[in-house]
Amino acid sequence: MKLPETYTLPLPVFVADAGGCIESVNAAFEALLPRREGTPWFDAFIDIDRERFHREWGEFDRRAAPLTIKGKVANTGGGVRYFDVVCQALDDEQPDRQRLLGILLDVTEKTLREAENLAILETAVDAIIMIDEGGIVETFNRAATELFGYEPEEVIGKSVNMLMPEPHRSRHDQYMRRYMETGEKRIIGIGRELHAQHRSGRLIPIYLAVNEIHVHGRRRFTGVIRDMSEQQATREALAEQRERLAHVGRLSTMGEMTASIAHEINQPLTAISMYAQSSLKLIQRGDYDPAKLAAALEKLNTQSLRAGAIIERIQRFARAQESKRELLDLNLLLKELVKLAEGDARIHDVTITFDLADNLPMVYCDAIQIQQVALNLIRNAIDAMKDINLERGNAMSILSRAIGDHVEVAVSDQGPGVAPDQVKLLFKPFHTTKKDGMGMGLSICRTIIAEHGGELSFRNNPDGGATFYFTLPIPQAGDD
Amino acid sequence: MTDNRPTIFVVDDDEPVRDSIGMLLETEDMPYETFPDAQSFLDAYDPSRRGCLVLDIRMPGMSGLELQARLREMNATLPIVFITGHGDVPMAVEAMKRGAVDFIRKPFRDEELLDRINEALQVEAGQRAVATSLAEIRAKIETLTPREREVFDRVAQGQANKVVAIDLGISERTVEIHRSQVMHKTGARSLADLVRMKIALERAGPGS
Repeated sequence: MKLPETYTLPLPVFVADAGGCIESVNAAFEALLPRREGTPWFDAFIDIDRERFHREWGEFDRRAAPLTIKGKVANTGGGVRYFDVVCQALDDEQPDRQRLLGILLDVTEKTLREAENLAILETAVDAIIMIDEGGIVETFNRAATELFGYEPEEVIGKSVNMLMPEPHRSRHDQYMRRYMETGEKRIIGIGRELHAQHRSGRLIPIYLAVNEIHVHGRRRFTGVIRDMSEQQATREALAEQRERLAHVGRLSTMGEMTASIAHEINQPLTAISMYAQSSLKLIQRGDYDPAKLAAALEKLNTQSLRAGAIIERIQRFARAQESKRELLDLNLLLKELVKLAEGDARIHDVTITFDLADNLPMVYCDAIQIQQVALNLIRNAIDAMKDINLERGNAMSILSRAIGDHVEVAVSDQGPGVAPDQVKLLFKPFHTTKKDGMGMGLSICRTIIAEHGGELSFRNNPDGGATFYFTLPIPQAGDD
Repeated sequence: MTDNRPTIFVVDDDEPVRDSIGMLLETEDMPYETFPDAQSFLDAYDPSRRGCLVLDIRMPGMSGLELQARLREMNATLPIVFITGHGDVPMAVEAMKRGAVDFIRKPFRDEELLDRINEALQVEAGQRAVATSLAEIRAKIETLTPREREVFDRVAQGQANKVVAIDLGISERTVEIHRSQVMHKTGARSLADLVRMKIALERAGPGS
């Protein structure tokens, strides 16, 4: 039987009898699903939810909106088309005796688009959350679940503020109200770095970009959240690396500089030596022109001044390093520094122990310069012990304490100690007891500490070894 | 100059160094001439003149090594004593390989310089062979322990003790000890002597 009234309707239409078998179809239906009359209408569709249909059809109220159920139809071409089957009762009888008018609405495009959107949403690397005007979560994608540790059903329908730490958690409603009232954008369309709160309470560094969307006259907000933990870790590692390089760079610049100074200082030293030895020879022979000798001594003197000027230049170099002073915790500075010395210590089998005072007052100093000084003392201590093959011990201790109006940092070793004949020479530039030393370390260190208003000195330990220490003044009330 | 004695040509860019070496040579009554750079020496150089060259290895403009190469191109047989500064030893080793007779490190004692100069002059006069005979060198090297030999090979290439220590995985102190043993056993008086022996061995080819 045909459906004359609907026969030319472009939408596929069918009528099923009370038993659910197709009674009649229109041309559009015939074209889509040929020769279906007499078969159960369910069979025309793939994946149709029969249980739901029966449940809802039983309670169907024909005065209300028609019942819509989704069904798929296999195309002759092999594809699948999606339909909303709009069901309407034709007779005023009991549900199980009613005939059914079914109209097929092709929703293929919409379904595919939605599926695509959903796939995009679900496979997005960034967490994407949609909220309504009241801050209630509407969608929560897979990445969001991974980031926050909540399943979508735990979050959807609740306020998005559960994903925020304080103080934002309690202020978020206020933020949204303010935006609704003033339209003033603080984050929407801008994006910023914030912290989010994981289910466990842990804070996660994130980058949040919020956009406002209007669909069907409703205003909603989507938040795209990128986990910045890795970036932040990388950034911190880089900063630390840079910091270390600054140290090493500065130290090696000093090393390179001293090497080139060594080269340079050999020139006047060579000349001094030649003038002196020639003059000595002349005098020893007792046969010389006093004017000539005087000229030689004059030149010798000039060369010694030249050597002095070169040394002066190194001192200036040490000083010229722009000094940037801040109020700093020396204990922290020392702990950081030891990372630089640890490798050296390990190689030479030296152990480093700390004895750092609690509540050490902060001091004004240039972190890099002070670390340079401390590093120098630490390296010296390692050298002192390794030069005697650790025969007195391999322990180095780093101590900090406050004494009166200053803070003291002391580095003790178990080396040979400072020999009496070395005491006077210790801080002289170019004096060294090391085979490859430049003899500049302690001299530069002393200059740095003196410029900080402190003192660098040493004492031999009663039980052997030496302790080198420096002091820095504790800022007093009224100081800048 | 009517003087028939050999001349010491001093080339150094540092005026006081030049002048003081000049004073020393004058005190010793040795004829000398000084030049502030390699080019001015080349300009003034007469290949027929006898003597030796005391040459700073590191100079602005033409370096000591370059001047040495130019003289070789000219087939000049003037023996060269190089003066080296801090960290120039590898360069000096290179210079020795190219035929320099000796090198001396700044700052030096007057006798050291005068000895080197005298030896160079003897070489030039053909009175002294540059190197002791190969057989003699081999005999000395054979007295070295394997470790000493390793130290010798590296030191004679101009490696600093520190580098040798890292290379061999031993302490710098140990290198020092081995090094002085090497000097003692081979009878070398200077690093230049060691370099000379090493070069002689290398020239003799593998198997030495």
